[in-house]
Amino acid sequence: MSFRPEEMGFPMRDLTAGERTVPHPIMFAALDKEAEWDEIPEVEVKEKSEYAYYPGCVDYYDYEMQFSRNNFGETDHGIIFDSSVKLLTAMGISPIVLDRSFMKCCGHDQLWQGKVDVWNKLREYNETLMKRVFKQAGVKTLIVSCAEGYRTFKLDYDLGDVEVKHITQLLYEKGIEFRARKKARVTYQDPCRMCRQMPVDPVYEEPRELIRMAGADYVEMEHFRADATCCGVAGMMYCNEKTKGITNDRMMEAKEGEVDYLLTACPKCLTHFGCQQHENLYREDREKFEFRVIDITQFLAECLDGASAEALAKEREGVEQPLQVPAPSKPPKKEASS
Amino acid sequence: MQDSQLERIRREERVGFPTQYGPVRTDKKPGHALMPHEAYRDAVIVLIMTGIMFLLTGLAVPALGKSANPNVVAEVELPDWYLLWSWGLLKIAEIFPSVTILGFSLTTLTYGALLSAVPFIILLLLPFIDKGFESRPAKANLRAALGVAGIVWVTTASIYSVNVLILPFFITAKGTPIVTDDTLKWMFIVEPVLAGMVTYVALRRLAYKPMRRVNTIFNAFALVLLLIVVLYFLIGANLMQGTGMLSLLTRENAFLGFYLGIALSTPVVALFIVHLLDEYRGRRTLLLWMAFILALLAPMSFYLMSFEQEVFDHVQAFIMTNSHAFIALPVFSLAVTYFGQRTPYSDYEYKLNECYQCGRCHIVCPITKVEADALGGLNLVYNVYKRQHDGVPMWSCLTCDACSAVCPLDINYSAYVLTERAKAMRAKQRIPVERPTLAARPAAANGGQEDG
Repeated sequence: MSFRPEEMGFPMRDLTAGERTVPHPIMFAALDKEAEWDEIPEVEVKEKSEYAYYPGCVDYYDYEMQFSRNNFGETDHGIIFDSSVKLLTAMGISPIVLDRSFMKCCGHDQLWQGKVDVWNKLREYNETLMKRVFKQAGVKTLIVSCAEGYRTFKLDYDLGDVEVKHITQLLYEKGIEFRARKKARVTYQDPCRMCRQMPVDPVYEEPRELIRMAGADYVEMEHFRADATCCGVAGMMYCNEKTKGITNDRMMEAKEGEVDYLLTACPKCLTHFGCQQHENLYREDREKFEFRVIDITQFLAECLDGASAEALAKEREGVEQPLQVPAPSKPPKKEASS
Repeated sequence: MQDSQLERIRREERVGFPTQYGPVRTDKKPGHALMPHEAYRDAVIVLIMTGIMFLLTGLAVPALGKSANPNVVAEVELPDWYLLWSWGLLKIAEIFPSVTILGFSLTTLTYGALLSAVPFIILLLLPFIDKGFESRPAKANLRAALGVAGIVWVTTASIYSVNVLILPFFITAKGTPIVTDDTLKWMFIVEPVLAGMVTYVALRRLAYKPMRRVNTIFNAFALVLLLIVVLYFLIGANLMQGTGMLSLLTRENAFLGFYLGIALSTPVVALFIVHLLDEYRGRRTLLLWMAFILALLAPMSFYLMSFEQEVFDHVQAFIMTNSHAFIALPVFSLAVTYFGQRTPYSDYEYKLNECYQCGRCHIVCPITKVEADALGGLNLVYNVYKRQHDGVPMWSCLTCDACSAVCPLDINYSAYVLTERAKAMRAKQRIPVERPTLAARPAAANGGQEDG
């Protein structure tokens, strides 16, 4: 069986040719299909918790990125979920996990791609189901670990009295302690959905303070806070030479700061920084980025009790992975762009 | 250099934003200074006006009328028209009781003088009470409603001042007054409140809110009214005559029922459209329904008029005597639903029109650095809005909202992108505007004038 989409009969377009199309046709076809299944199941929650955690579609991205062969680097989305749960557990919080076994995608990408009908279906499903769960479990705070989820649940959803919080806000409020402090130069990319696009409660200071609390040497890039340059893609709209140029510019700013870590709180930023970092390794005319690009939750989890990236990965070994695609031994051939 | 920038932000105590824009800024308020800009301009205009007056008086000496005779009391005492309101307030002051407190007697005259001062006091205090930045009525709708109510109040006072001239118009042939002086006095409260409420609702409607609730109330009311009319005049009258219900089952009444059915169904259809269909489908369905009604009514009426004159007379006798209910109400119901279903001002239309093309958005837009066809001009979204682009570059927009963050007018560009993309993807549903997606600005950003 082949995993190459074009051999499976999907009409794939050349995404690097600068064509203006919504990419990732397979993933979004699957997500849109999922929206049509609108029978809302009855749920019974026996546990009580004031907190609920919505991991979002991060694990799904891992699967899709490998599937469509857009990510050959070290970018690991699933670890965001593991790290977040680890951090919350360290704080003594055991949240109700609203994972994708019964929830759906929050619909952020569909909304920003203009598929309002699909978005409305997803929203109605999630809203109804969430309210049922929240009522039974007595949830007062919904924790998200993703910038897009933060914006979508906070602004576009109507969740009643339940407060939506990003995980960094909660960690900072509760005052987390880091035992394995890292001596490193760290910078942070403000995701647009979590900073300047939020008319209420923009998250600027909490990630920075947490990085400082973890003992790291915090460095600002040239543009930061509300001025932060976009990572290149929002809502999985494009992947072409132009967006890659923007991503590259942003990573150059990090490189000028001579950082060891480039952190972000948005899986889209993570995807595209990771992709760019990996792609540049195989291009002679491009800059090589030596720093690590990881999510802020992963960084904080690593600082928590000395757990290294390997240790975190080892913990995950027992977990069933959605689909294992063998990584290619050599980088894929890229067409020479004009 | 980076550290110094951070230091600067810390020093100036601005969290988040390296620079401040929009009405919430604290560093420097936009606008021209009174001295010398406004003062000089106003001085010149005043001088020119005075000059014109001298010129006119020099050219033509105004003719003076007869000299006033203080011995003759006029039949109706009238001040000049622009002081009628004060005269009206002096007259209304009689409703207050005359009391004496600590040697000061408060009479009708005192109350009248105090009442006349009220508008001036409000006008003097207005700049100190109202520090909002928005001058557009649709954005400061509470303030606009209060203003309209005030104007109506003053106008009512003017009208009341000539109450002796008005009251004789409203007298029956027998000499009983229909409108009394007390009724006119109540107008001082009723009219401004009504005018203010109507203004407020209309402005809210103009800005953001859809009119679903108003449509529902109107149509439900129309339906109930029609049912009452039918029951009372047709069935009730029959029962009172003692002829019994069976006498209603005639051939003429069958035709009459056809017409009444159409009239009654109109608000029902309107309610259905308002509640179950979205804007586009709702309006289309309403037009189809109107066409359907006409297709039924026209041939039927033509047939009755041509061949069954008696039946037509019977139908006409009932319909035309209650024409308000059976003709005007359904027509209004259709019109109200059709116009009320539409969301007239979308947020972006409203805000993008404010753009004064400072170009900050262009400076920060990351796309303009890499897209060849987006170079030059203002930002992508604005150019598409002004039809200076084919709209394709908007699909390149990252919706990173860097433009909105630096916009001095707090225009939410991504709201426009959302709407346009939804149109391009042929979304059947509208983006719900009640949600804060499209009005994603805090109340403080609108100069505290976002009422409710």
